Amino acid sequence: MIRSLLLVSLLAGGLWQIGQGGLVQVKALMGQLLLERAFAAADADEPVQIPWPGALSHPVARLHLPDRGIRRLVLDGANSPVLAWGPGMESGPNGHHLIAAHRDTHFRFLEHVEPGETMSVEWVDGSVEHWRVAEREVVDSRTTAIDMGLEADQLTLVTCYPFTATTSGGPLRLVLTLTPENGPLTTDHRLPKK
Amino acid sequence: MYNFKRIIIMAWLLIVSPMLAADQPAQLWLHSGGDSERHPAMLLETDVDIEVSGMLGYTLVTQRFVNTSDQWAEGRYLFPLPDDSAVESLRIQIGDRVIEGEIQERGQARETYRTARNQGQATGLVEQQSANVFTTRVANIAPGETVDIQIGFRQTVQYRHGRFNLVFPTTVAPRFGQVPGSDGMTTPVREAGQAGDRALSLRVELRPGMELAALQSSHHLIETDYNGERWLVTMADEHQPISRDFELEWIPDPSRPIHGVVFQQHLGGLDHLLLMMVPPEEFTSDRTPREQILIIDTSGSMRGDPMDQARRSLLFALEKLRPGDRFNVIEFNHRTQALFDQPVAATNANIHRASRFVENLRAGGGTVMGPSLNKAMSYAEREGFIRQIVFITDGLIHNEDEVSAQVRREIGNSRLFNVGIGHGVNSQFLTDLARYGRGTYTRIADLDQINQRMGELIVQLGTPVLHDIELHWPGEAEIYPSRIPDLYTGEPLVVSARGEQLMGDVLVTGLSDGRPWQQKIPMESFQLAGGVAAHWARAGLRSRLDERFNGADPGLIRESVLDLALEYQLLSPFTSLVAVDQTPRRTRQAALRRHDLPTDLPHGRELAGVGDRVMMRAMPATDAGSESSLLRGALALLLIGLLLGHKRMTRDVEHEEERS
Repeated sequence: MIRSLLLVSLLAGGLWQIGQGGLVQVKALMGQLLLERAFAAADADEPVQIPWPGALSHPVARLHLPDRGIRRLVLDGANSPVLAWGPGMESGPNGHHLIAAHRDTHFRFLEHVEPGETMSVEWVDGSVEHWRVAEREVVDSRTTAIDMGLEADQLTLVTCYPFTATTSGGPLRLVLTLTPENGPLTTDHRLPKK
Repeated sequence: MYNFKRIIIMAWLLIVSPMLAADQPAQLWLHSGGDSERHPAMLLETDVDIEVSGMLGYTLVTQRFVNTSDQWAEGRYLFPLPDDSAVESLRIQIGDRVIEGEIQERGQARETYRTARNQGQATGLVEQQSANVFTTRVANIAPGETVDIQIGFRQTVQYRHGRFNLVFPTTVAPRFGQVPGSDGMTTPVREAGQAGDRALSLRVELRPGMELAALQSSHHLIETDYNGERWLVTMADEHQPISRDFELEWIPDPSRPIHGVVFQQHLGGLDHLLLMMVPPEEFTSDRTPREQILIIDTSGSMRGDPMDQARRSLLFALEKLRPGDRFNVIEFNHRTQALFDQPVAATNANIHRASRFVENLRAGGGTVMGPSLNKAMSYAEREGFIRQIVFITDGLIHNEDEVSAQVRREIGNSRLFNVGIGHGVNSQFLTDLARYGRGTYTRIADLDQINQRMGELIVQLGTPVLHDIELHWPGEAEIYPSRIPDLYTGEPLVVSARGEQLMGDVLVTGLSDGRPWQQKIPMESFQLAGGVAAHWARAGLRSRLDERFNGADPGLIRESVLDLALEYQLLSPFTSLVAVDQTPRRTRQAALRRHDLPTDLPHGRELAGVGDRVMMRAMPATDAGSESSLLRGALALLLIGLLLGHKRMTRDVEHEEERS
């Protein structure tokens, strides 16, 4: 009796869990495919293209790492419902951009990205920026925040850490800080000329 | 077969556990109106300021959070305080406004809070959940705003075996089961080592009132400074892990031993006295043989270091059994198992067998405490033996009242000695339980404390007590505890009294080894101290609440507790602290707009000095949980396979046996 109860609950629980996990992966893959059309349609005049009726967000940029063959369409907003479909971007008032994504889907590749590597961001208006990873650090989300007031010469990528964790919702985050590949965009960081 | 079942059950729990939502302790959870989602507020810093004079401490704990969401929010958090603390004040600073709390009847306080919240006023509420766990709520926190929550409470310093001891718990350990009546807030299902290492600054101002031989912290690095009158203790490094309780110890100069001291406070036209007495150490050792029942907790909450400490403590106790004693060992998690059917003689062979049994104990499963105690208390009493029950546990259960009532009912002539293991142990419960069992409570947080503390317990178990103690006050006095307990070596007698005219000598009499004993504490030696009245009131609250175990009418208990709590302005199960900002807040829309103005941004911002307009954003949640789900799912299917395979295997074996 107990055995059959256990069997049934295990079967139900197991299938439910696999369904949950599978759904996340499918959403992540489908999202990127479905967003492609909206990103292609967007341009400087019509930057907001709703990818499908009722969609929570819209693509704003494409993150590209040619060496790794990685292309990710980045959505507007970095909250949980949006992140299911793709990496999400938030922008500060002074031009700082933050891109966050799930460690088990879109940002899994960050596990192997080291300082010095480059990547590009293609905006909906067609302009392209080149960035280089300056710093890679692991922080505790309970004591560390992201300063959205930073200047436009910094791009921050965030995902959960460690990549091998078997439970979700841990406090650690991997934070990659990127700076423009060809020197600073603004003059702030240049040494004053004598 | 049993092991196999256990594996299956543990795996089942693992698979099901993510469905049970859990709170982190001492974490402010933000709920925004209309949306059921909640997110943690970012804890910026915790600041603890403790003032101790003599045996009485006053502590201010300040926690600073920032609402990192873009919505107006209501915050709730759960926090632990040291055992026996009397909460006195609540002060909330939201943005630039400060609001102070006052004591109200629990239901009324809730109503006050709700009304203020719905009118958009800044407001806060502190409620007691169990003896030493409290919850705080704060409403109407604007987006980006910083909240400082400051709670003030009094506590009594412990004195045992010549050492003073002050504990500040930094964590609430997870308990087995649900907290009743806690609005569905549950303590967390949490893994060891994940307790959260947040920034904590701690400062103790100590006026011991005597010369000290030593001042030390058991688990943290500290810096001390002495100015001839008071000691100032600070943490040497603010980034020390706060997953370990802070424990400060000071030892008086042995050349000037203290035996009895009385602290005094005059409040509301009444004298309040607090008497602390230590029996002289020249008592002769009693040779009455003992029957020791050693109970060890092997539930899941003991896993890791605590299990190791418990095991070693028990081995220590086994080693110290004397020839002629009798003993038994009982293990419990969700089931109870005794080594021997009945207590046996402490022969070398039996002790050896018990040691092997103890060494093989592993932690796992739930905590059902009652049956093990019942077993120990129900062994027939043996003529010429003193029954001593040594109970080694972390005390993390939720049916504390049931177990307390059971001990009061069944203890008979047995004595109960509790040993609390690990950090975040439920000391309050274990202290109370020892009190009902007329024994003592010993706390062991680290492996290196075992030898010393267990050694002290062994001395207590082996030496006679001072009993039939009577106190003679200078006037009519209301005293707590009303029944004076027996006195053990190194254990002080702490009694508080209130009366109209208590200025005079206090006389203590008792029997030791059948001979009369007495000590006088002259009035001239009384020391003035704040907090004596609060300590008396707290002891009174506890004593009145304990009446429930004697079958007193709950309505009457509630009334008498309520009267006392309101008179002394203390937090209790029936009173709460509520604070309301009297000036109206800005409208929601206005403040939201204000927050969005980029021109308000301060420059050169730093975490420590955040105002209410920072552009700090909490780290986003970046784990979809697909891998853990898939893992659990795969594990479940694997188990189904195992279960089916196991069935076939056992059937095969049975067939084989039938054939042979």
